[in-house]
Amino acid sequence: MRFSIWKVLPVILLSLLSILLYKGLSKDDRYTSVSMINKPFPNFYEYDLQRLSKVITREDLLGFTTLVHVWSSSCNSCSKDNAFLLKLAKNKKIKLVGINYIDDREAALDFLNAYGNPYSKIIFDASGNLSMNIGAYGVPETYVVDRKGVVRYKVSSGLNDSVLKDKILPIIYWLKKHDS
Amino acid sequence: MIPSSNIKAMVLLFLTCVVIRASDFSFSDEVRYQSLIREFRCLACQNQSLVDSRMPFAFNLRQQIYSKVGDGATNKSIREYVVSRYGNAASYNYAIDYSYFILILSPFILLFVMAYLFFKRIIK
Repeated sequence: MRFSIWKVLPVILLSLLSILLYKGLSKDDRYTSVSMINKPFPNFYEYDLQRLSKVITREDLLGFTTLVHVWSSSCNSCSKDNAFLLKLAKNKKIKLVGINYIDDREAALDFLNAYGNPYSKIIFDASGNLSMNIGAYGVPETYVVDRKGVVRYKVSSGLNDSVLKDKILPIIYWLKKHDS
Repeated sequence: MIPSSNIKAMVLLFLTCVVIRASDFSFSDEVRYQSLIREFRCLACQNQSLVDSRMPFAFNLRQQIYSKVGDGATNKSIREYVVSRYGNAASYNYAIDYSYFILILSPFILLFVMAYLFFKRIIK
């Protein structure tokens, strides 16, 4: 039998195509809005979820490395994230600020009673405009904001150990060292 | 024959519509708003446009665009506003990336190659 490239080529092409398609199966092709990174956190003027008489502004984020977490009592994975944040809250060097995205206030407070409150402050974003202004498109989302109020990192999904250890904590430690 | 009370009701209904339309949102603003929200992708459900989406985030963005159009912001500044938050991918007609030309042209290249092979065989 004579060797012919035309007999082998389709097999090679097909296997290459299968590899390509197989890889495509596990690829996450949702776009992430990284465009807010290294931009200043937008100005805002919103009520405190726990005390509606108080107002929280951008000034409250300054001076600390802050982890801003967008959550809502109606989201499933937020309770899981809450457990991670409670662990993080023991680390006194990080300030945790929550943004409660369009929520029933009572439901949000019940959520905190049930799962614990890791935040030092919770912004009551009743209109959802603040969350939109920082480029969020789902709950939960987490932002690392440095001392000067610049967004440094963003996780647009739930938290887990590997994201925390490999992404968030190194950035926070780097900021601690270089950003004083 | 329509009873006169019904006619009165219809006239009233028509008048309320006129009153609602007579806000500072003019007809051209409405057209501009409608075309703008068709230009953007929904943020979470990415195969839908902003018009289709029932996501609360899409609702917020529509509201924001609506108020910006009402304030007289230009189309360009509104596009910049959305793209600065959600990136180029949030817009359906973003700037042309030349690396896509291979993708667009590949069917035609393939067609020419096939046609060449086909006619070569026929001529033989």
